[in-house]
Amino acid sequence: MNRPEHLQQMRRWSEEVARDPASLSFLPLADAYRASGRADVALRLVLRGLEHHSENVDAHVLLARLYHERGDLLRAMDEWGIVLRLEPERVEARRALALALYAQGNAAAAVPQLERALQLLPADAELIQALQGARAALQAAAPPARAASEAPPIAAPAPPELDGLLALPERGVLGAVLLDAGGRVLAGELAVEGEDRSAELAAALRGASDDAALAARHLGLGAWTSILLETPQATVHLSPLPEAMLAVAGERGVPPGWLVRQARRLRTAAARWLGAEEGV
Amino acid sequence: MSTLSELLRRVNRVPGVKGSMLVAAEDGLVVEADLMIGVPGPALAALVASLFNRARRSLSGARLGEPTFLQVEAEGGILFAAAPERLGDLLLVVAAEAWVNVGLVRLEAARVVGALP
Repeated sequence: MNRPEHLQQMRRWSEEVARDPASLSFLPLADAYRASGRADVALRLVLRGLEHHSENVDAHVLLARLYHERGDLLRAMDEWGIVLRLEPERVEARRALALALYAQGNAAAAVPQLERALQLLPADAELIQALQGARAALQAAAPPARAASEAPPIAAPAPPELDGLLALPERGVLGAVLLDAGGRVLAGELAVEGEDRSAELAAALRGASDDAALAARHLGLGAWTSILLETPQATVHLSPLPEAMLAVAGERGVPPGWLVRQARRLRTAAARWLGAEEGV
Repeated sequence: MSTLSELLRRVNRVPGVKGSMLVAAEDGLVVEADLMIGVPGPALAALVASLFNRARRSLSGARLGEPTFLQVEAEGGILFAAAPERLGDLLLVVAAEAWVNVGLVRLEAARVVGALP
C-alpha cells in the first residue's frame, strides 16, 4: 500500500472509531499510529478500545508492546500475563515475559519462564543467552554471606518456614510467595498443575496492596492487614509487609482458618527474614 | 420492596454490618445500596470493584480460577465482596466493623443469594 492509500485507510479506520467507539478498527489504527511513531495516540486508542473489547488478545499484545517500548516493563509484563491467560500458547508473549523477567533482574522467576519459552523456540539465541545469564546470576547469588557494599541478591532462597510449608502438600498447600512492591518474586513458589505460577501471580498482584490501602484509607479503616480471596479451585491469603507482600495459596478444600493461621506464622517469619536482609 | 433490597436488608441484620450494596463488577457503579449514614457508597463500590478485578486478573493469570469471594481486613473494619453465579455480573459488597462475626456474614450472604429466584 502506498502512502496516500495508507493515509486514506487510516482516515477510514479513524472515522469508524469516531462513529462507533466499539468498532474493532481501533486495533489497526493504533498499530498504524505506533508504526508511524505516534505511540501516545496508539496507547490512548488501545486503552479506549479495550474498554469495549477487554478479552481481545491482539489488543493486549499491542498494549504490551507499547508499554515495553516506553520502557514501562512492569505494565508490559502485566499485559503479557493477560495475553498468556487468554491464549496460553502465544509464543511472543511467553518469550517477552521471560525476557522481561530477566531484564528486570528477577533471575529466580526468569529461569522457569525462559526454559518454557525455549521449549517453544529452541534456537532463539536471545533466550539461550538470557537463560545462561539468569542461571549465572542465581549461582552468583547463592553464597549466603556477602559484603555490605554489594547490591542485594536478585533472588534469595526462601526462608526456612516457606520451605516448610511447601513441604506439606498433604495439607493442600499450593505455595507461599514473598513479593516486593514492584511485583517481583523475592522468595517461594506457587505450584499450579505442576508448574510454578509465582511470576504470573506476582506481576498481576502488583498494585493490589495500593488498591487495598486506598480503599481502607478512603473508608477511614486505617491500614489493611489481610486480604482473603477464594476461587472454585483455591484460597489465597495476602498480607502486607514493609515494601513487600506475602501470598499463601491453598487448594479450595483447605479450611480458610487453617490457611490464615499458616499465613500469619509465615508473615512473622518473612518479616524477620526481610529485616535480616536489610541489615546485611 | 425489591428482591435485591430485601437481600441487602437481611445481610445488614448481622450485628456489626454497616451496610451492603450490589455493585456492577465491570465499572464499579452502585446498582442497589442499603448503607448506614457516613459510609461512602460510590467510593466503596468503585474501590472494591477495582480490587476485585485486579484479583480476578492475577488469580486467572496464575491459573487459580476466577475469584468468587474477597475479604479485606483493616485495622478499623472489614470489607467483603462476593460474586456468586446467581448475581451474574454483580458483586455483593458488605462493609462491617472489625469485630463482626465473619462467618455469620458469609453464611447470611450465601443463604440470601441462594434464595434468589
